[in-house]
Amino acid sequence: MQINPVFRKELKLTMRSSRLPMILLIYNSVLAFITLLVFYTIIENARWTQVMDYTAVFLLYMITFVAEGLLLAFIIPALTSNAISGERERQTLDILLTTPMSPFRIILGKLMSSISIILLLVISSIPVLAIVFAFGGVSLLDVIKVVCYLVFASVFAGAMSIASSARFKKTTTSTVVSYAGVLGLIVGTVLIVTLGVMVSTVSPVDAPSVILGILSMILLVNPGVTVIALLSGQFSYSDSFPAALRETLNVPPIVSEHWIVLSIVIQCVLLAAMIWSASAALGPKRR
Amino acid sequence: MLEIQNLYKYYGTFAALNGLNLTIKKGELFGFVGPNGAGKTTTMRIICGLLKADSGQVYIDGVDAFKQQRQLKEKIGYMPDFFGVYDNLKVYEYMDFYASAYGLTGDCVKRTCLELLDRVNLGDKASAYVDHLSRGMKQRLCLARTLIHDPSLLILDEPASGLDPQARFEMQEILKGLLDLDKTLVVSSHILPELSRMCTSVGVIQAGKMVLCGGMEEIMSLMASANPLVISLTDKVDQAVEYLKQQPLVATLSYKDHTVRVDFKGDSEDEVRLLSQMVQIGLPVSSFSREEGSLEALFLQITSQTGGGIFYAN
Repeated sequence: MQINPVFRKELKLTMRSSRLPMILLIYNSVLAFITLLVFYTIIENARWTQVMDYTAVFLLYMITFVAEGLLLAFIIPALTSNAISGERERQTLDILLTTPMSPFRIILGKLMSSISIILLLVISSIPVLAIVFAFGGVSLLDVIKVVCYLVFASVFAGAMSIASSARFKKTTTSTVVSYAGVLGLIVGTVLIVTLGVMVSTVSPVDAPSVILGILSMILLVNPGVTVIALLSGQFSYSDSFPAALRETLNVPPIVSEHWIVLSIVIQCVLLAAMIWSASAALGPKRR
Repeated sequence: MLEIQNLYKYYGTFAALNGLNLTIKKGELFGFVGPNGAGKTTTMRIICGLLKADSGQVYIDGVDAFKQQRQLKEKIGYMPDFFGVYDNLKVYEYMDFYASAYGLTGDCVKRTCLELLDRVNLGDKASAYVDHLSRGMKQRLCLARTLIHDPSLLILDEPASGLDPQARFEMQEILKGLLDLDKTLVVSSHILPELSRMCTSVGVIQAGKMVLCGGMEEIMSLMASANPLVISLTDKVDQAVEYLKQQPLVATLSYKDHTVRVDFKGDSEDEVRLLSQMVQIGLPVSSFSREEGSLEALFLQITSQTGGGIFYAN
């Protein structure tokens, strides 16, 4: 089977650029700094108090993966928001579109390339991530699950950036829209729900809480919430997250109980929609 | 090979193509000429499937360009007027990338790439990085790239733009050489003397319509019939001027030294008659011919006029 030509070309170009080693260095340095800071704080506390607080293990675990997720969310748009607009600016897109490669295959090649960079970033961070095993209590399977989801969420963000770069002519616009999209997903959805909670608190009738329950389901598209749900579920108080969704946000039990699966399914649908949108943007132009 | 029927394309209310009709036979090197904004690039982009037409049909070797996109792409090699390259790729890798984009794999790809690089005189640059090439070399590389899948029709939008005379000459020779490979070429250019030297047929587009189309030789001879007669004499210039003034088919004339330029309304038979009469009355005519037609003159003549129907010279 032939390897996607765009993927092969992108891989070659990425590996030859001086940008990638820099990104790897910065990414791992920041991640190591945050993780080691938390790790040594725990050690210092234990030394002074002579007590090893086991909730600190969860804190280390949580902070490490949230930091990794945030770093990926920050880096991915920068790496992928020029996927198509860069070809357009370099004036290579027209030539590419006159080949028999379908827009879908071109987008897929770009996406595969971004997946390979994500994997490289995640794999290169394994030595740093291994710190979560230092105190025990964390299983390898749990870590694999979270890492897999982080890779998926990064692909989701990457697809959003690629769709944005296919829709907008300039890389600057595409980058701004990509970051706005990531921020909208992670922070925007939380703000909307917070606003809903505030309205519901001051409302004298019960109806707003039903609306709040429905409104809160917007968090299903938020990869940050999915990561937190995943991490919470891996520790002893596994029911705490669905319970919080039910009690605080009035989310229907059927949704709160299957939050992780539902959110991944919805994000998969959105991912497919973004790939379709990017492919459609590369079709023959009306103008 | 290429047939365009009633092609319309609007940008808002502006008609970029206004019922364009064009037929190009197999093996032609067709020069596509027109002022800026006449619709050349729009036509080429529609042929290549990069732009949607509002109405009309385009057939390439019987393939409907709007309905059979995949087959269309196999038949066409397109070189845009402005194009870029991938900075971190080597010349051979650049060719190999496009070969794989056309689904070509195996040992034959390497051979084809190297052969094409040789054809465009870049054989010794196969290992060089693309961004280290000169403008002319990049143009030739792009041309080699259009040939990678052995297309029958090449659409070249301003292939010689921005090149120095030497590089333009090289490009011209390469394009002529492609006719030996049984390719059909559609070349748009603003450098008309070069087009007239290499094209076998030419079409002039203005305001989205073909205003003239036909074989280069026929068009040039037709052009020539509208040009002044240039008569050189070894002596008796005044007597010749007096004689010519009396001729009913002579509209105006001017003379300098031993040469008389005559705006003559007659056809070639009238020219023969005039020459024999001049010789009979003892005028020492050393040369007698129409001024040679040029594509620039034709272009200026056509584009300075407005309206007018299509004219086919076959």
